[in-house]
Amino acid sequence: MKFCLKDKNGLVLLTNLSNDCIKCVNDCTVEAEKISCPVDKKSKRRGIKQVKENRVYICSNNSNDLASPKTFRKKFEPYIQLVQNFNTFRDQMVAPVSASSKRLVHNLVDLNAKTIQDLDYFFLKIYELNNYKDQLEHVKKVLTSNEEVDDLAEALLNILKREKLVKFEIATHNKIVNPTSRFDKNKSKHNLHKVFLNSFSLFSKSFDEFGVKVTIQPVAIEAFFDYQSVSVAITHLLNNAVKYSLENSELSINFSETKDMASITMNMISLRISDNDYSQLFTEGYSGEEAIKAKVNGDGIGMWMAKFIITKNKGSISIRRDDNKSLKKNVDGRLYENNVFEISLPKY
Amino acid sequence: MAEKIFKFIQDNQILSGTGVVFLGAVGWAYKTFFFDKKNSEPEPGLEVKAVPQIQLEKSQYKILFIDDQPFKIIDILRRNGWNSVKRLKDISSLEDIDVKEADVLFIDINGVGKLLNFTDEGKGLAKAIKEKFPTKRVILYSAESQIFHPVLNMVDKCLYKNADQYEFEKIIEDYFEKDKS
Repeated sequence: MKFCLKDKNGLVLLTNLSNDCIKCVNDCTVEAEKISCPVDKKSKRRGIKQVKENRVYICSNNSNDLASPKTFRKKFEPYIQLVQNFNTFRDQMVAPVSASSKRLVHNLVDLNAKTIQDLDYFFLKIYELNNYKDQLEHVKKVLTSNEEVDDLAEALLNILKREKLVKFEIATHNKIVNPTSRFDKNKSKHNLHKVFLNSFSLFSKSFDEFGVKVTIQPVAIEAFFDYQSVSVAITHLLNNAVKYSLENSELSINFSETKDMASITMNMISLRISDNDYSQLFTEGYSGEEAIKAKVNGDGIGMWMAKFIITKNKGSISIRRDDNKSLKKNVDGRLYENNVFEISLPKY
Repeated sequence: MAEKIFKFIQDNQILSGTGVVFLGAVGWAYKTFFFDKKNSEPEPGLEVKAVPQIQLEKSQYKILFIDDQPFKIIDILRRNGWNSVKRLKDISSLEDIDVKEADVLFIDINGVGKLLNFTDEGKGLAKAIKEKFPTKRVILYSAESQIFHPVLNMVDKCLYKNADQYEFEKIIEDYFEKDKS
């Protein structure tokens, strides 16, 4: 049996036909018809069937198939199954990767654009200088000039943070493409406070801009985990904290430990998490109801990825309403509450 | 000088509350008049121990990067006291003295292993080094994460090329601490 599976755009997904036979696929319009093969001149039966957005073509020289169109039509079944499996595979494997690639490129272009503009603002003249030494001299001149030192310092700090965000975006993409990569299995003992600060430094300016007062408990406790991936999880949580915190509120970061586990707790006043949200917040693609209402929702990968990473590191992540404070605020139609996010990681 | 002070305390059996105050005063006087001065002007005739023992060990810990491109992390490590860090663009023999002496090797997956004709470049080189020197710590680093090769399970760690300085140094520190003890 010869077959050919095509996608909705007419592209061949899978086939065992030779190039000479492909023309037959295009010519065939019915489910079963007898033909004289244009390649080897033998008598054959061919047919094409639409299966949702795919097309399945088969061709047989089996005598039973030639004798009975009904018998021939039954031969479509395994190929229909195959194309359906292919679609499932594509939906489960390829589509997320493709969506992630699209998101990655979008975010990288966004970060890149800001950095290019920051640099061009100060160093535009270097494009007029074709000599490397002259370019270097110009950069030195700008760096040693006192006129714009404040703006320059801010620009350089922004560039540094953006480069770390580039790394974070790539790491997130890598984890979607290859969730169990060997590169994310470098478990070691780390100072949780130090690791947290490494990620937090990217967001200090954003919290400042929103007037969110952050207090970080200066406690050095150790836990055993993969630094790179846990940093990605923490960054996702902080990213959400920046987006969803109430302006001019307080964010308190605390560290604690039990016999076996070390934890980071983030107490904040942020967009209300509904009861419905609680059951789905760690599901890929899910965004909180209030976040959607306020049109500040993201792609719904942050919490899902954070949970995936922390679980891989044999830890746990949880969200709860802080009922002790039970503050409810309505600001411009947005509901805010005291929420507590907690990451726990094994100590050994 | 410190020994003299403690002997004085012992000799006079200073244990009472007044003694604690006195002890504090002695400590303050010692710090103010002797310790700070000692830092700026060593007393004549004193044997000066230039570098503490731990620092010497750290500076002698041999770290080798095999990478065809310059890698700034090497300069950062050197600046942080890992003075025996070195980069080779490639190696032509597994008997290379730098390889034999290295405590920890960082190997880039791309662009190396060519002199020894490894078709899989850094992966082949890392595999050969790990087979010849099983106890050496070998870390592969790469710009890609989509790599499937048996050597990934042979080497001690796999690291993203854009890893923080913290990650590179933490690995070295962890191995150094193990080897030291």
